[in-house]
Amino acid sequence: MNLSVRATVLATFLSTALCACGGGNSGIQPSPSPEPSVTPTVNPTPSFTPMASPTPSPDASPAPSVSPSPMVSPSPSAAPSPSPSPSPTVSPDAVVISGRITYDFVPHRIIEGVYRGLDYDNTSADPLRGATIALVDEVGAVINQSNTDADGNYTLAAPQETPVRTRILAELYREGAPAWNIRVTDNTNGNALYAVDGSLISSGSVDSIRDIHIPSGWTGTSYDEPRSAGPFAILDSVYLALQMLLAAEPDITLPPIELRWSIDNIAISGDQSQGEIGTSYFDGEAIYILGHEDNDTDEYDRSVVQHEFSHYLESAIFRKDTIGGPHSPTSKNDMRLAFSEGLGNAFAAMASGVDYYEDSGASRQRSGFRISLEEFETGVSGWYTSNSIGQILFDIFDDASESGDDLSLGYNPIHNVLTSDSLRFGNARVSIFSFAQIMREQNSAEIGDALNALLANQNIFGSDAYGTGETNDGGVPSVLPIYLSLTPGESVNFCISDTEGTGNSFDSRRLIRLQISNQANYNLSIDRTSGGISPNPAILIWQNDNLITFINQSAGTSESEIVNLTPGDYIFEVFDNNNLAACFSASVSIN
Amino acid sequence: MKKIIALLTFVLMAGTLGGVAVANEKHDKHGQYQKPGAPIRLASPDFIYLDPHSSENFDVRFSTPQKGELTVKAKSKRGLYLEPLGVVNVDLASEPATVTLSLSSTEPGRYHVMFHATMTVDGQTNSRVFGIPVYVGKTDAASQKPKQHPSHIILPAEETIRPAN
Repeated sequence: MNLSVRATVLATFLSTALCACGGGNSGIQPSPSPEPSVTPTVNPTPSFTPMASPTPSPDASPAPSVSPSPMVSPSPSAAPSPSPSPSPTVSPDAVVISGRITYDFVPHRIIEGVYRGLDYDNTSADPLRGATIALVDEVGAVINQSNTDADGNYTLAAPQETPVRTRILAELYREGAPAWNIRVTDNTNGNALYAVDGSLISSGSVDSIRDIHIPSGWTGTSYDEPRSAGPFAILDSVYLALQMLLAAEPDITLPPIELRWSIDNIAISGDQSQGEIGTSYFDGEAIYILGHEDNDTDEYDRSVVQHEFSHYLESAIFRKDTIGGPHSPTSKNDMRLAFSEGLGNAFAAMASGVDYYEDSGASRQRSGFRISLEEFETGVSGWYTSNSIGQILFDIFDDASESGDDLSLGYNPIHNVLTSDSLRFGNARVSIFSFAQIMREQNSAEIGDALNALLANQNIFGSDAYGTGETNDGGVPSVLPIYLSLTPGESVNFCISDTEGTGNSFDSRRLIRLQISNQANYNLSIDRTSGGISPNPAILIWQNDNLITFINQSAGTSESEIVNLTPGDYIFEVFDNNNLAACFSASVSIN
Repeated sequence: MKKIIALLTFVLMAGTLGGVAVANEKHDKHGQYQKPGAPIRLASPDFIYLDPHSSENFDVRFSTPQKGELTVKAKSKRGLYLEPLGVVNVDLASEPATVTLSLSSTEPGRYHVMFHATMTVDGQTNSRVFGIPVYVGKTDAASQKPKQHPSHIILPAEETIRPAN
């Protein structure tokens, strides 16, 4: 074989839709765990015949020889180019090991119009896309590394006659621009990274193919075998979301994130290291995913994984104003929470190319529920329900044009609003109002009119980022106006309550706009005027996306503090620590 | 008029120790950003202690802003026994919504009582799973897990190897 051609093959990698550099920071190390029970199938008579000289890829880099070789650019497409990354030293006398990685994907099912959870009978071997894959030696040292392409294929070079195994990490990793570092780890084992190993077998003297399939562990009535596919199903759900993000922002840079999953992750709140995670959620630092069979498993619930990934994106590159907590699609929640949750549902549907959110659970995962992002299934609508927000956002995105929906813009315009400086650093809290206002500003009047029609369809009538003119009070008049106004030297009266009983109802907190013209020390105070046996008010003062101060010193029915404020716009957020229904008077005066 | 159909299933199973944390409902931006589900949650108790070879009744209270009926179905597994068995109706209109469980056990250990709730409100059906840890006898959570963890969790897979053509 021509050495130059062989060397070219060494440096050639299959193009990937998500091209990751080989320097993945997973720090592959020998695992102290016992050898896995891999069942390789090797063809008989392994007397390999030398392959014909391959046609060099037009993007192939020069022969790496003993020097670290740069990654080769992928085939021209929408895929971003990888940044060069040094590879471990590889001899020119090398062979190519290639193959395809698949995993068991379990779809959901509808029987006679009723959602029925997971459909194990129609499990499919889906490609594992964009995942880090390496050839490692007998002690776990990395010989070469790349990632699978959009069809689960990989190609790696290895020295001849060397015991090597393939190792697939539950990781999406890329350096440079764009960049991401997404890992699926086990929170019940010190957040160790999930991986799958092939057999340790000689690389031989000719090229070979090593395909790996990752099984679900389902044996017909239960998970009697290791649930190897779980982490990779989670990873693939994120891959889909990443594709949508890249189309909107090709040079996106995401901070690292772990999705923590275990078969012991159960719907009991307690010790996360024991699997007691309570529910699937994002805690501001990591995403936790349920996995306890016959109760609630979410590894095959793409909607759930992508919904939580959306919360991570709010924290990472959008803006997260939501106060979090329990919610349901029709609960009347704080508008920031409603927007955040509606966005999560819509984002998941967009990323997966479906028009619903679904979540399986219960015995054999044969139950659960599905929320339509297209069909309005509930009589509760407004700026305070995630159902309404999700449908609006999805209607902006989708191609379907039903009555009242004249928008088919795709995800990009939504992304442009969410990543805009106006939203991220604006004074208005993130809600459907601020989102809609910025979308109107970024797009044509025609689009603005169509957006207003979508809003009206969901009984949302506020005309600007502060919801001015909103008339839908959800049956609780005290929630309007959306923002109260306060002027130094004056006071404003308002009432709060907790209709949903969860502390994050649409009437649990009041927002007050305050404009300061002169820098001075201001006396801020909240006093109970009526109601509640022992409410304990607290005040948050915001300016744009910054928390200026949190006033919560007293255990009584009043709060006050002297704060130095510079000229500008501020938002007071008032709530009751005890979640009681009470009325208050807020005032600001120069001290 | 709202029509609410709610189904709860109790499932008993062995599990790990832990207390119950209430979702952060204050200003803290590091509160839980949860997945959607039925508008029902566990109000009390946070956990249950049970002496081995004993039987006790426990009132489990649920919190939901919705009114209607809740159906409970119990399952028991080896080591921990639960009554009532079968489907039990709980009137959510009562304040607070409560079901009384009778628990008994012969073996020390850690268990869970799980609730599977399905509620249909205004035509929208959602479900939620939540549970209570049950400690039978004295158990030491700290001794249950090794302190050293591997860097990777290696899972098994199926491999096919053949020469390239």
